[in-house]
Amino acid sequence: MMTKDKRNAPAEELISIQVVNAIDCAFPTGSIMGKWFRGLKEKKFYATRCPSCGRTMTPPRGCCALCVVRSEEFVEVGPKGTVENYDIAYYASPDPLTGKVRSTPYAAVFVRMDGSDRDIFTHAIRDEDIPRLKRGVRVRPVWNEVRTGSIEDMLYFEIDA
Amino acid sequence: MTKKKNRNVGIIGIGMTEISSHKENQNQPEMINEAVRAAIADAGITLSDIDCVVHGNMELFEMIHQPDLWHMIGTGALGKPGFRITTGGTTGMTLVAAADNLVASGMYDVVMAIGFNKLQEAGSTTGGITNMADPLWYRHLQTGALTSTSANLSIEEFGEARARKAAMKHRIMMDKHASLNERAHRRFGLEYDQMEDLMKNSPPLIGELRLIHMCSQSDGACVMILASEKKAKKICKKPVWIRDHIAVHREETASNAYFPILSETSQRVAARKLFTRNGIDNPVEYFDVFEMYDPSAWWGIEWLRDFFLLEGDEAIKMVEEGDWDLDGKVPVNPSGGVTASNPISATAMLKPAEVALQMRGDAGRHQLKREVRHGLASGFGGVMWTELMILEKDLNW
Ligand SMILES: [Zn+2]
Repeated sequence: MMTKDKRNAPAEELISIQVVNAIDCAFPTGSIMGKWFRGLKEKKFYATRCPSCGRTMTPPRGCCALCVVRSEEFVEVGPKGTVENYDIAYYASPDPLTGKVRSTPYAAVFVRMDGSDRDIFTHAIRDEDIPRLKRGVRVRPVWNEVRTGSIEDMLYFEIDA
Repeated sequence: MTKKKNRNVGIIGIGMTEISSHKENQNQPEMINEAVRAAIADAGITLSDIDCVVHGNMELFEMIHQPDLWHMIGTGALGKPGFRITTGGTTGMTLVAAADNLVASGMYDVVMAIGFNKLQEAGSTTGGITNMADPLWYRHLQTGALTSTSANLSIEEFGEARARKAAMKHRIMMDKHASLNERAHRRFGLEYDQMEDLMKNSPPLIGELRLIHMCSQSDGACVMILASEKKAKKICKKPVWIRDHIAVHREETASNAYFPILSETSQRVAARKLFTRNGIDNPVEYFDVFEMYDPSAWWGIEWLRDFFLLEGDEAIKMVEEGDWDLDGKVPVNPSGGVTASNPISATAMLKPAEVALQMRGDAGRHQLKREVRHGLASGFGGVMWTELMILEKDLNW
């Protein structure tokens, strides 16, 4: 079942080769997610609604996977919502997009946007609001001054009080 | 008598490397070769007896694509039909499920399944996992595989003190089991009187999830050889039979994973469907062992409820009363589970492998005292996918 590696290679033959990979990527959105990103530029959240079961999907998807039908009717949700759950990170893991170690604590909130169904949208919460985070708390988006049609058009949520 | 749709399938060989934090003395094909040799020796066959090889890992963790091609010198698959499978955290069990289907179909008589990960090679599993998220938006937000959302809900349901204690008791029980397993990676020698101390002083990672609750990052490989009933009986003195398995996928985006659009978790859906179609009314009564893919102690206590179709506080009451312990109603993870050992794409294969060793009586120091006749094994992967498998000692169900 288990065998021990019996070779005893001299230490100088056990070498680790260091490699850093950096690759440029470009990901097309398609028209459904394109509408979502254009919405963010205009400070709007667009979901799609399933014509069969009626549920919303945020961000929008072009098909309800439960009913297996196209869902191309857009509805606006939010901008406010309710925190259904949250994650407060104390462990400084490197940001895989930049390689930089983020300052802690930072937090993500899982938000049910007003007017949406059971679906959840996730974004960061303002650092200063972390101590007041709990399930059920109301939040509103804070927008970037410069918006280009990306997820970074929204900076984070903040508690709506 | 044929129990399956077409023909029965037995596990005839099991091989695994020691699971450790890093293996700088071996490259990937060498590490895999160690487990391949062990499985072939365990089955008492030669490479020429193997008709087909299925190979799998999560490529992001080593950042090398098509590893099955350059692993050929370690796998012995040269000139044989082969398939590559990569389904995230569930990979290890999907490999076994695929091998089972390939043999049951009649396509091949003897199939070897190889699962591995050498997580130290690309350094950051969190980086790898984040790069699996939707590149259009979710990569910017995801924190990796760590979450406290399950803990938050348990605390809301059972109260802070009770939920925290149950998670920590489960974690210490896992460590006690791992301490008996000579292949386990992390063996701390924890005692139950350390609970209060660990709940306070283990470094916090995310919310209520502390370092001690979370699975390890390990290197290792696992290999299983499956054969048709006829071949298995000829080759092997103690074949273990794969009775049935199920995969339950979830359709949500990552952010929805913790709040099921479906009214039940994928764990509960898998268990209900699998037990119903096999006529198992009382899983706690039926199973002699459960090897669970428990990525953290918090998920562990939550999923025990779902996998055994329990309600309310039944599952954490069983944690409190030691019913999941080695001498309890259903021993859970005699191997020590995933919080002890996690070479990710071997992890979900280690689960049925450990169940099979328990059935054969070959588990070693963590061998259960009771006879193990009916076993359950689970695999888990993002986004909340579940694989669940029933194994049997005898062909008599
Ligand atoms: Zn629908």
